[in-house]
Amino acid sequence: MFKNPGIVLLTTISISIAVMFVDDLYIALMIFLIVLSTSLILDMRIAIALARYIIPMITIYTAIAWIIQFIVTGEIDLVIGFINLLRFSTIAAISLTMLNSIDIPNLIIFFNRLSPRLGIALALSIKMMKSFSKTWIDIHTVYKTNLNIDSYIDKIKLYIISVRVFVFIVMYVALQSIEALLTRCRIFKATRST
Amino acid sequence: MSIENLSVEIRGREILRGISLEINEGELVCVAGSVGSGKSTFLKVLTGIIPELYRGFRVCGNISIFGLKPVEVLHKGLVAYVPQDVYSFFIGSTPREELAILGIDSSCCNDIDLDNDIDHLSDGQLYRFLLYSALFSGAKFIAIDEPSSHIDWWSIGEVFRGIERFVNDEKAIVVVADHKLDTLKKFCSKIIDLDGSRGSYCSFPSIITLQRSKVIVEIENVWVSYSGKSILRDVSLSINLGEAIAIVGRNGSGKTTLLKVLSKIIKPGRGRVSIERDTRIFLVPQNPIYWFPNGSVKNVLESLAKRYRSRESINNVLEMFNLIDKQDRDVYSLSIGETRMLSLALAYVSKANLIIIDEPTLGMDCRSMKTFVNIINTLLENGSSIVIATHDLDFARLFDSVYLLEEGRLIDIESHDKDG
Repeated sequence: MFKNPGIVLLTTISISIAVMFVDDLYIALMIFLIVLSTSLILDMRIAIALARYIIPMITIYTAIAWIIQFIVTGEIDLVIGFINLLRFSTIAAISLTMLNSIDIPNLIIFFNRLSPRLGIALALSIKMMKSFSKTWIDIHTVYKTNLNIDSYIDKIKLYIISVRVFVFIVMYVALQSIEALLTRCRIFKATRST
Repeated sequence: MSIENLSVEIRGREILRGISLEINEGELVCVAGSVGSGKSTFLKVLTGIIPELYRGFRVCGNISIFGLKPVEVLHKGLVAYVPQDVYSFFIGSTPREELAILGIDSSCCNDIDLDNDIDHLSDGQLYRFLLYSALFSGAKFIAIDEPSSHIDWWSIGEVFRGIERFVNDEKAIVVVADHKLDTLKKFCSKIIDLDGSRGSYCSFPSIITLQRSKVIVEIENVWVSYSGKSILRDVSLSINLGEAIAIVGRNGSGKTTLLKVLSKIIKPGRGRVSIERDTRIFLVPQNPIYWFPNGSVKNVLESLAKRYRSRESINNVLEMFNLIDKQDRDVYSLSIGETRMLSLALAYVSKANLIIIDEPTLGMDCRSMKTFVNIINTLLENGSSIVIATHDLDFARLFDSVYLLEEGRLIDIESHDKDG
């Protein structure tokens, strides 16, 4: 657990900027493997999240980029595509590791020292980020159980209804969060009364 | 606190009318009323959330709290509000983080697992945590919405004795809105009845299993663990077609986990779950709002009825579930009790063989609970099976099969009672 969130943020931003300037495939691969091994040692769940969600998502975007590149230029630059894939996977791994290792109350207090509104914004954004994935899983599992999913078309319908519901619930959660901040958070109260 | 001739309306619809009241320091006041009578609106007006956050409301009359307007009291940090819907009310990831953000000492909440992830705490545990953090927040006016819907049958008396001590020691004002004041009225110095529902005696018909045919779901020796902690231990249960089962237990005893195992959402670490082919399951989750699409009550009901190819007349269903006068309202404007009725109406039109309901009485008043019992009997007559999980032992006793979930083990409640 990192007690000084300022150092954590500085490290994350510095490594991310450095990674963006790497244009050699082997160096990019080496940095990615070092970051991935460190994540694996610190928290196995980060490596699982990377393997299950983030790397496949970045791969899809890379594939789309290659298709667009092929349509526009008539050729595909595989090396640039792989370097980009490694860059973004590395940044995702660093961010996830840091977010998981950071002491959030200390981070909020740190930001609150800079500006109370910044502290509130950060607390709320971390909370919303975390609640989004849970909300999506909850909606999806309830509809998957309740709608009889037999065919491929049913699966598409399940995603459409889940997305529609998700949008409205996110708005509802945002309103509830403001209620919570209004009536519970001293930081917010202090900001409002000053 | 003095309230003079308070009236509240939204878009021409009157919610509260002509409320006048005085509350002294050191008083615990209770607000009674049926589902949708305006109890939560009343609390939100007193705490200043309306009109500070929800500006569509028209609030008339005078309210003075410690000589200030509600909004001023809110901004001075003298108010704490414990809402009905607890899920979105946290900023931190664990209770310990939340307390650090709020600047409250962790000694406030000894019976809460402070290092557990907030997403993994039960509804009742979250509610208790919100309640404790409100009491320790330094607020002088605390509004508590529907505690009996969240705190289990075994602990509510003890929790309210603590609130009573707090009110006396701190000379604070506590206003509690609840539809079920029978257990709480001994703690109230005053009771405000918003719609005259308190006088009505609440009795329910029994829930009777008419026929039990084949077993549709069977779980054997199921174990579920999370972060090294056993939530279900060696649980076995079989559900017959046409059977009604109640699973009762304290907050955090693992009821929701068991329902998720029955609904195939959670795969157990050990044990066997077998579900008869062609069994259609409908799950009503504990959280009443977090799975509704947008639209009016009627539209939501119509669109899902169409998906289930239900031939049921929508107007009849609205009538059955006391929703006919709310059919044009947006589902997100309903009270918690009303959303629960809509969830049950959706379960009804789904024509599922197995209907699983997590905390069915959440936010429900006597009339809604009677309706619910009648609907269960209709569903049983139609051959569906019902499984509910509740922390309300009195309500669970209406069922002819009742199981107690205690320390992860499922016990037939009759044999448990005999063993003392």
